[in-house]
Amino acid sequence: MSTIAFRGVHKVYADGTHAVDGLDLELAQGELLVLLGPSGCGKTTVLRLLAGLESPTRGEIFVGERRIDELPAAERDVAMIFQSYALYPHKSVRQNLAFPLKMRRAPRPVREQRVREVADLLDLGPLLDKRPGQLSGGQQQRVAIGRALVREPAAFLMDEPLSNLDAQLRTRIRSELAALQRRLGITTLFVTHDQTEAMTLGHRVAVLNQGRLQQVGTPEELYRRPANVFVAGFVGQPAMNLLTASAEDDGARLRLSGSGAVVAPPSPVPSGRLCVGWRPEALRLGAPEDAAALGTGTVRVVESLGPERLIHVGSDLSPWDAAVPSDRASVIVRTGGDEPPPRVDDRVGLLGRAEDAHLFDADGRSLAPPIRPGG
Amino acid sequence: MSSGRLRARRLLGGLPAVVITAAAVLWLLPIVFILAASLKPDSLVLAEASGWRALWPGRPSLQNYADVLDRTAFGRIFLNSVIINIGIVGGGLVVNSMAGYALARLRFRGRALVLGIVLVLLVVPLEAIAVPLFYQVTVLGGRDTYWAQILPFVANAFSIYLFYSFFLGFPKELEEAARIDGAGPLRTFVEIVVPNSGPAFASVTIVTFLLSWGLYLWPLMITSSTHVRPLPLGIAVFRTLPPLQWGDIMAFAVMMVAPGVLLFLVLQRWFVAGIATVGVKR
Amino acid sequence: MAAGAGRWGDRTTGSARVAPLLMTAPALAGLLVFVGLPFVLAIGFSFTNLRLGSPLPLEWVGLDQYARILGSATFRRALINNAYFAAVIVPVQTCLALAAAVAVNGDHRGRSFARAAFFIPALFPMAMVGVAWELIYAPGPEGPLNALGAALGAWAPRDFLRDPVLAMPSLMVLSVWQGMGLQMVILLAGLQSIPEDLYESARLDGAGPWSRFFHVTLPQLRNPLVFVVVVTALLAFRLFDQVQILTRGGPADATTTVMYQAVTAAFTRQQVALASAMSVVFFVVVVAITALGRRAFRQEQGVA
Repeated sequence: MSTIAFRGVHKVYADGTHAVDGLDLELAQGELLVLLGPSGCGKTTVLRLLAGLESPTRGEIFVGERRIDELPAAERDVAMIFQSYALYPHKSVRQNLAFPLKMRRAPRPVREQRVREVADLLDLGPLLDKRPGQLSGGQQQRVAIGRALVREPAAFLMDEPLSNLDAQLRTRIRSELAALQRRLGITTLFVTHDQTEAMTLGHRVAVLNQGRLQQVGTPEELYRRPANVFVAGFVGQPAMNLLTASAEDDGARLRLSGSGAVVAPPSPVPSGRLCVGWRPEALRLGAPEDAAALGTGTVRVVESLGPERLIHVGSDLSPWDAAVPSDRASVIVRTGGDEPPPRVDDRVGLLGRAEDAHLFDADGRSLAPPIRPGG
Repeated sequence: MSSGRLRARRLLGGLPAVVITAAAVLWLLPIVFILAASLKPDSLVLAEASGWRALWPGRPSLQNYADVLDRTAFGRIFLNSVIINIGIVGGGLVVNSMAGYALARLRFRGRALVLGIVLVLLVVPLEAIAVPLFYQVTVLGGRDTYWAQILPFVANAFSIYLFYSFFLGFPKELEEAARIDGAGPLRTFVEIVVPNSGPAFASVTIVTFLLSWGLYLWPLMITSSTHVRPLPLGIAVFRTLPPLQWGDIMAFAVMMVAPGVLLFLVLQRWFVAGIATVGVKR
Repeated sequence: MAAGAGRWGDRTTGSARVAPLLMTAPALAGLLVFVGLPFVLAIGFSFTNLRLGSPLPLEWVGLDQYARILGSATFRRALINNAYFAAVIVPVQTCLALAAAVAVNGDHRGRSFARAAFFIPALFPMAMVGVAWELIYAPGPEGPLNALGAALGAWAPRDFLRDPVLAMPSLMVLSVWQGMGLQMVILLAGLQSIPEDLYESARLDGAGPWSRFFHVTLPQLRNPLVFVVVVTALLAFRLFDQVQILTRGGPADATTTVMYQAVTAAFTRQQVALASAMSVVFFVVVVAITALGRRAFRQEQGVA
């Protein structure tokens, strides 16, 4: 049980790609930190650097007080659960569990005892003599966890362990994993591209994009105070509506591009192109003539999701992402299911409060004061 | 196999299974002839060779087989082939698989060089080097020995290449898991990779076996007595042994291939599957 | 503590550095000693006048041996024979193997029987096939093949193996009979890996069986076909066993081959240098074929 620290870690490949670009990250003892990001963002590389399957081009990695980035994988005292579990297909569950101990020349009685303990913990007793091929996905996962546990490692590494499971199983095992981790208190680094997993599992979540750390914080913090446009648009489903605006009156007022509506920011904003974001649940539909409307448009799609609805509105507001043609961009509004739904092609106005807006400068950085010094 | 089923019907249109079976029977005729001749008294073999009787042993007898065992050291010759082949195939599996794995998965200085050597030597057929190899082996005292018929063929560029191609596609995660669990490269290879590489080993075994079982030129050069002489040379020599009795010769032929054929018939599916991966890779 | 398990992905330490060397050493040693070295020796000898038992001192003769063999009518004949053999064997055996593979790929009763029947001769050593077919080729009206010919009214009794025109074709027939099985199995594997969707979509597009064969099957079989063709060509140039057992290069050099010439030169006449030069020429031809084959193969990699 230890802390984990990445200090100035870079991983550059031979062709020049920066898979990991200057990572500084610390995990507290017993914490479950989730690495979240789109595919190719470097999260798996970070995991592999910690595991010892790759070595950093620059920087240092610590497990507890030990500097481990120059140690071979086997000496790092970390255990990894692979996306595909990587169970040895030709060995029985018992042999799979015993393998790490066998490699460490643990004497037989010790091996047998540990295997028994872990099997009890994870309810693997009846499966011990079966082969991985005979087990269900959920069972294989437990064996993978068992194999990692058997060594009593200082840290757990998990590479999208839930993505191979079907939806129902995923939810169940997710909570089991969380409970297990809490109970054992092993510092865990968990990689996923699935937001829901990240938000529900992690004590803290670290968002990565293109090798760079975007923001680290509790799921709450990421959601309410995204540090930049990327995090704002990535965390939360459906994504936050990100719009273009510009400053007026020396920053006292914000004019939304496209519709020309004016909003009063809480504090003065810098000049230049700015980004304003509203989450779908922060917007309402109103009459198109409403003077307070942020913009007007036509209803394109109405998605009924049971207790709520998602309304896609093709509006006159300019999206922040210049690559999307404005006749395709939709503003998404989330409404409760009680009100009567709008119909497609209805003209509507978009209403929202200035207090609910997220503001970002031309470089995408949040203009809101940071929650904690240093983020 | 249902996809194959539909495919054939489409490809062949109305070509009935009868035609194919007839073609197969035709293809087998020489074998039937050989078998029949082996069961006839020598005097009748040529006499009846020109009629339908060629394919039919009137009163089958195993006399020829007994004659072969009398006239030659067939048992010894057969044993020689078995020993030589087990040596070549067995030794080859160990040596070539390790090399193929190291080239595919391990990074070491000189890896590119070794791979290059393998690729270059891949193209060198036995016949091109048989003459100097003969003198080399003679100098080392290898004439008329087992080792001279086994050792030169154990390391095989083609086998190495087959293993190399196969291991390139082996699931990396298994090896990485083993690595994290504490296994070194050799341990990983022996405990994790080999037990999960059945198809590769099967293919290489079959291909190597087929090629080495039929070796003729090399034993011809190296051996001089039945002491270590293998079957292909055995039958050629027997052919020149007076008196020339075709019945006996055909019996020799049958005895030398019967075990292999029976083995094939029993293991047909695995056999075919085993060779299958050879051509599709490359 | 794991014993010396080095990080053999990025950097290696300790005993993990030894492992790759340990694992490649035996194979490498074997290749260098038993393939590389004789190869170098062959090239070396070919530039000398090495002849065992000769009173002359060993000396460098440059390209003399090569001039001799290329000037020798027999050797030129051998090259032509090899080319003739390959030129016939490769297309014939490949087409037969393809036809057999297609035939056996279907699902009909007798499929296993046909597959076994076509393959079994491949299990026979060529030496045995040669000896057995000598009987089939027996001259005079008693010979089975001649009898068949008489029954079909097709030909008068021939002495196949001693007829200057028929000797090589006779060797070709038995070689194809033996060799077709292995190629068939490889092509069969290729056939079975063609995705069903391609056929279905062609069918919907209106392609009939022959069209599907030419536009779906053959293109998908490009790689295994190239492989089969190259291997067959290589084996054709290595032609030795049948010649040595059945015809001894005759009649009148009608069936002599490069390898047969080389082995006879080395063993019956002790002309090691000459035989080495022949081996080198042989090697050059083999490389050329393989290179052509690799190029054809690579061209397909991009498209397929």
